[in-house]
Amino acid sequence: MTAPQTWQLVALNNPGPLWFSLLVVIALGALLWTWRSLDPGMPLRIRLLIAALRTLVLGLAIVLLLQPALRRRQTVPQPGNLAVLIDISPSMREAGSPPRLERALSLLAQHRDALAAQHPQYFLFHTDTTPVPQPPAPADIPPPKDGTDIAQAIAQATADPDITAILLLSDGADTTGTAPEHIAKTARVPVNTLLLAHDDAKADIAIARVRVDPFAFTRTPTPVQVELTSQGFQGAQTSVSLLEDGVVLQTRDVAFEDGRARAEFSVFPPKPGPWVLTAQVPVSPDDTRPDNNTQHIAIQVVRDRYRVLHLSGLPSWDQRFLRDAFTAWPRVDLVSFYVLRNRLQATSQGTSGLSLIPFPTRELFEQHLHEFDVLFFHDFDPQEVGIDTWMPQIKQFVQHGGALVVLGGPNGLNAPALVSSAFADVLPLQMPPADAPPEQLFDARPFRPAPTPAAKHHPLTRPGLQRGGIWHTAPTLEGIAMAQGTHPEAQVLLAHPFVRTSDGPAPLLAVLSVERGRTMMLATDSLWLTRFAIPMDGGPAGAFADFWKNAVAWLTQDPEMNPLQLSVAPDSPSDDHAVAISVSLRNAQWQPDPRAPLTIDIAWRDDAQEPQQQQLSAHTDNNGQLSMRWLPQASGPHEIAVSAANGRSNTTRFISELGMVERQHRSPRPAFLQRLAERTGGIAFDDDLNVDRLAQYNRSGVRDQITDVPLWSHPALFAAFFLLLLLEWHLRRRNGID
Amino acid sequence: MNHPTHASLSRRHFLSALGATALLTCAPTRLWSSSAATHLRLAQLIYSDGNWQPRPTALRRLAWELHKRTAVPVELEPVSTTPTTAGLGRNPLLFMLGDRPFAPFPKAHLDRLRRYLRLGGTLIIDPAHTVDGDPTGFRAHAHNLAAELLPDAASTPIQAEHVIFRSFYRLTRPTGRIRGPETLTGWPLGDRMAIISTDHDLAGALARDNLGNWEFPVEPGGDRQRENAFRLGINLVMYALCLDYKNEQPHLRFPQSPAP
Repeated sequence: MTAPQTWQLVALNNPGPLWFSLLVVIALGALLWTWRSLDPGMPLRIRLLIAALRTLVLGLAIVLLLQPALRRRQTVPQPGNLAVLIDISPSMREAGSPPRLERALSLLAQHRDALAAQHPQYFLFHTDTTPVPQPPAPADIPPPKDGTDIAQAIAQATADPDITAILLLSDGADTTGTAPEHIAKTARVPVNTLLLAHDDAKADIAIARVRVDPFAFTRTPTPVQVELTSQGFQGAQTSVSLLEDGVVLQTRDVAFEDGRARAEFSVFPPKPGPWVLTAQVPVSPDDTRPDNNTQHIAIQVVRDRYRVLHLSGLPSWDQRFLRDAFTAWPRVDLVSFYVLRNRLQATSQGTSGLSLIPFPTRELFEQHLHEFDVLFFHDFDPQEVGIDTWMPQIKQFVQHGGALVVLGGPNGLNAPALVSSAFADVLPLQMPPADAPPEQLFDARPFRPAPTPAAKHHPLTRPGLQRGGIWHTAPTLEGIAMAQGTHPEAQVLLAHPFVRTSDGPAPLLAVLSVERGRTMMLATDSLWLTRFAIPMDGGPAGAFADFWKNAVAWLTQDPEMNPLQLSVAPDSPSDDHAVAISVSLRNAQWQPDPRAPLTIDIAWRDDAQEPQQQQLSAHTDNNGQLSMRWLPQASGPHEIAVSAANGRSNTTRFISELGMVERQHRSPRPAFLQRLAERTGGIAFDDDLNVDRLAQYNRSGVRDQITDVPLWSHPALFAAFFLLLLLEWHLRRRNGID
Repeated sequence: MNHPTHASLSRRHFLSALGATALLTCAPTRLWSSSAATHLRLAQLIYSDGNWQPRPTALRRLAWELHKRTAVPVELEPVSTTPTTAGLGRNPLLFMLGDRPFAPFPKAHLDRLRRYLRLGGTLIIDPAHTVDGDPTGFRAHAHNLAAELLPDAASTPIQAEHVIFRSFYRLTRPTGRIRGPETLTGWPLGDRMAIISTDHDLAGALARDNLGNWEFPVEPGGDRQRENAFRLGINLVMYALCLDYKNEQPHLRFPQSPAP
């Protein structure tokens, strides 16, 4: 093939426009001087001839000074330097039959000699790129990281300016989300692609993506969309389930259309913190890739507002000032139902002119109970409004993470529905039945509550005791509903100073953890005195609200209430999926606990779903902090529990994405490679390599060749120059001119 | 139908009054087995240089009606208190009655009442339209007192749409012994009315002697007017106890639903 060439007249000695102009002016001046020096009496013909000869001499002198030449520009082929990029990411190693990587290495071995003419330089890449002298044997390929980054592989290969073209062997399953058009803009050489996508295993139902906001609010409907893909199944139907801790929350049946299906769920995050859900599709016998039938998602649940349902059995100052505290607290979303007249009054007086509404029992307890964080029974007898039949649902509400507060006098605490054995086991205090002798029900004498030893450390009462809260300001309360026993696992925080039961001082404030929820009982309805009567006499006005804020925070298991704070930063594929664990520990005085020993237990399930566990030991630093990295060994949900020697503990969960990135990007992407080749002027090969065609289209292997042919140095020019001078001299002599 | 007065007592009304008296006598002053702190006590403000007790029986009658008609645990015997009485903090609801001008409150009284209101107390002002009194003068002094107690709060008419008129009974306007204006007057503090003033001689409609006779005729008259006065009294107490509870969304969704 003849290389194309072009010719161009150039000046080898280009003085620049200024000097050139000056030369022309000088030449014109010399001409004018010549003309004026000639005798006007001479024949005009002779004068014109001499002037013409002088003009030619001066013009020829200028041409000789510029040194004109003819420049020949010729594009000639150059030997190419080909960068061969071999994708060794997990999708290349694990997918396909035989694996795609084996096919790639086989093709390279087959065309090794032909490629040698293009001076190949080999690179292995996944998320990083490593140059290698030769294509390695499959057994010698190092373990890849979790991901495929084609853009960085091309950038690294073309950092060498001698590289003139790229041959990319890949399945196109890039995990970075970079568009091929974007890669093409930065690639300075043609990228020739070789697609490796001939998988034998086709039949597959997969969870392609789970769409959910990474943040959600407690007890707020949170949509979850699970997108499925299907190949190799005709008209398949399946079901999708959402699970929490292996327990199915919801299931949807879906049918595939054009190989795609979508299941939509609405879930209610129960409490703040990481919430791990699992989307799962049953594995059919024909499904060749069961590993993509499960996907875990972690939702960071935050609390927007505490949702409080306040049920009061009678209008009272205690109810009024509790309502005051809640309505003045912007973080509380309050719904109230107060019994404004009792059943006897309702029966005897009719309904004329009243603004009362029916108690929406079914709506509340069947449809909306799970939307609340805390349920208050305030001097409330469930039987009075007919919700005693819903006590199992209320018990379940607590067991599933809700909170229940029972407070007041015997009007509510001794209600049959609350003292029944079916419900009493979720309450911290066991109250006598309402028909017990009055002296066993209530003691009306004023008293000053006595904090128990547990109160000094319990997060519910500790702040009040430390900051001069309602228990320190020595309020005098009136009347205590007497318990006949305490739940074995309950903690009594405040007690009566002199009234005793068979177990000891009559408990006033007690709390209990019930499965995932919490309950609290306060055996008086005179606490409002600390909100109004005591402040009227100079006591602190905010202690009452502070107590209830603290109580609601503890009851709802606000993570900030735990003196052992634990957080786990999401793992990053670029950092070997290392998990950053941070611990902050406070002591009983709520001060940073330095040099405290910690035990860290991490539990997960391996790929075979066998439970695994690892225990680590560590110490907090001088600031009561611990920061450490941990490398997961499997993907999926992990539970991490940290316990301190002082009894504090905390638990959280995280999902390791180890291997998940590639697992979700296993499908080959022919279009990706096709577009990349087109945009860069390369060739897109499909499962085979034509080296001759690659060399033919390797258009970057060319170089411009320039040759200058001088014109000014030709002897004829010099001869003409002197001939003209001689001719002018001859004319001047002949006509008698000096 | 005209209501009987103490001047014309029929046998039927005498017997009913006797029955009511018997009930009052037999009824315990505290009908719930709980502490005194649980119970609502209607308290009346004592002040000097005026007539602080123009309707001595009215609050007792209101307490009885509260006990009879509502679930409010109530002390049947009202109490009287000065602004500086130590037990004022036990009574977050305070009635101020009068039928003539009164002397300005000393600063100590003003400070204590101001703290009372800011902590959550409610003051109800009710001018008594007595024969020999000056209810207009009392009202003017009482409103000046309200302005002194809550200098940042401008008095505002309380229209029929306010939750006070739905706190227990559904009312279309305030009514007392006299028909009076269409609105109440309030001094807001935050989201609530801390001071509420009637101009309807509410206590006059409630007052009843020990024999069960209404002490004062209602004008223009009728059982419905006196009943509405009781309903207003109960609504005011319910408002002090429940505030804007009836403004919560579930109640607004059932505006016409009857009570259970």
